[in-house]
Amino acid sequence: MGFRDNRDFIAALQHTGDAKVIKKEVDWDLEAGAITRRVCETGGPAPLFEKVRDYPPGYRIFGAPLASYRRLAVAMDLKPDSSVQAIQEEYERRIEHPVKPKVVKDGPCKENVVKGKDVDLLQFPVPMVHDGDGGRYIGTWHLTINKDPDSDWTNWGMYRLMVHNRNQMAGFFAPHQHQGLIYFRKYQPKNRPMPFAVAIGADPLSSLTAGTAFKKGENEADFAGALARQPIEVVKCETNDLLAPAYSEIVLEGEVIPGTNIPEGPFGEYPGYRFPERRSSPIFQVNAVTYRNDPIMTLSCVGFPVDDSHVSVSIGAAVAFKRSLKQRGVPVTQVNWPAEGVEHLMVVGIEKRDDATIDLIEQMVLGSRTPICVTAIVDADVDVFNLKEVLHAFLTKCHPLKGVRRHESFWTLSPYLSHEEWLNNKGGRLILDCTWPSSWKKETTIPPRASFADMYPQEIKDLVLKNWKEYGF
Amino acid sequence: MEYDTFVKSLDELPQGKDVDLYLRDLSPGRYKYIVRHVRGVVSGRATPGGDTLWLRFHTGYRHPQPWSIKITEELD
Repeated sequence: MGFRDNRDFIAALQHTGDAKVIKKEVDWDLEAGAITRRVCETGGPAPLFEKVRDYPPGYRIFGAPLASYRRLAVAMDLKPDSSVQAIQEEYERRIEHPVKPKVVKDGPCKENVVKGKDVDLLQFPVPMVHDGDGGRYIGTWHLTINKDPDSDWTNWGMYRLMVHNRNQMAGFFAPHQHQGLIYFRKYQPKNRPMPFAVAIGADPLSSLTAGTAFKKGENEADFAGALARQPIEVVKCETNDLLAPAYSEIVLEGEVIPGTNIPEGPFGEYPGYRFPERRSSPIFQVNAVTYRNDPIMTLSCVGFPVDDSHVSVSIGAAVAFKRSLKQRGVPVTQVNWPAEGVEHLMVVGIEKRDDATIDLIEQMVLGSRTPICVTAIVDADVDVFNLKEVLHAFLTKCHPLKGVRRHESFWTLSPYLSHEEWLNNKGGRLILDCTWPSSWKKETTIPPRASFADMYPQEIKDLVLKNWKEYGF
Repeated sequence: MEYDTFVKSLDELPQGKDVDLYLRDLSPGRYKYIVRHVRGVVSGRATPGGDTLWLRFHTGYRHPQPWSIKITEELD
């Protein structure tokens, strides 16, 4: 079964050596962010900062909760050293069986309730994550909850949130993301405030699903339950009808106010740069805060890979795309959305190439809402999880003229886009056909790969492997 | 007092006349970086009675030399 809360998860990570308690006092102003960033870049254990400057004992920060596949494996109750492929396959199996959340009357997140004028977002150790960020980001690893007023769809998403003052926040709004979709279609045109709840420090799989691509109309809570193999317990907010995970460390409740504008950003983002430039955001007015005793803030120090967003998207988006490909009859072997690819690279393995298959994959990529920028299609003999093999296939099989397909698309957080492209929501997508032409025959046309695995008879390979140590290696 | 604000370029900030700005309060402590919306007069050099104003570009880079500001009104 999954972890009901983040505290049990942290304890499990400590047990496997994947989390470390930092007893020395650290500053919420850049120091906690810098340590967490370095953890991401060196593959270190997730830090739990026990003493945070300016804050009372018990107010803690937990950094990089899912910034490694080991931590994701622990979150899913798998062996910590499970391969990416094994994690992905287990994830795929579990989400086949959604589990509805269970509504409970009370929960740990209600241990403290603050409303109205008494709300103070900076009672929590909200970090200044990177130098040059537009402000202190309270939402970096959390789930924002919005409801479509015309259906049963409750969206859990992970959209960055910056503290503006004691009871107001600014958020990054993209029209193609689900929160933006609901707000810009259902609330802003009617000048209606949009209720929201933000759950910080929920159980790891609820946070994972919030940061992962599910389709419009799909309730992430059902998939969090599927991954946890038990219903996620949710509890009604104090000031609106939204339901938040009951074991969250902190829940912020409020409304997005149409017609208001406050500055947001820049922020060190998942592609590995601080951008986009400062923009306007409607006000997220916080009307109530509920929280556990001794609350633990969560901090994802996004940036140069690998961070929490890269790991979570790499699994969730790959499985979602793989399922879609299978449903459309594509002879897919595996799909990898490598964490190192900052959510912009997808590798699709196919059993057998033909033009129709490539065309179909291309259509599906162009119709995808994900931030994918480059899709590499490879033959079945390439291990999509081995980036060395993928790079080799790209450099040796992708015809520079016939194998590259370029298309206009909506923008993503891509640093190479011009200011005009940003303003006009323009981006691009690239399909790389890294497969041999279907007319080529194995015996007569396709060049054999000059590798140990492919170039030698089995008996020679067996001999070499058997004697490897005797050779002195 | 010490503040900073974000600007697209230095040309965006007219000196010597009222301008509306979102300032981040850089006073140390728990409320550092809280935002104030103010009207004030800015100058590219230190001003008697003025507060220090650091400028950051929209990329987040900080201009090396501090400006100053005299706050004339709190806007909200």
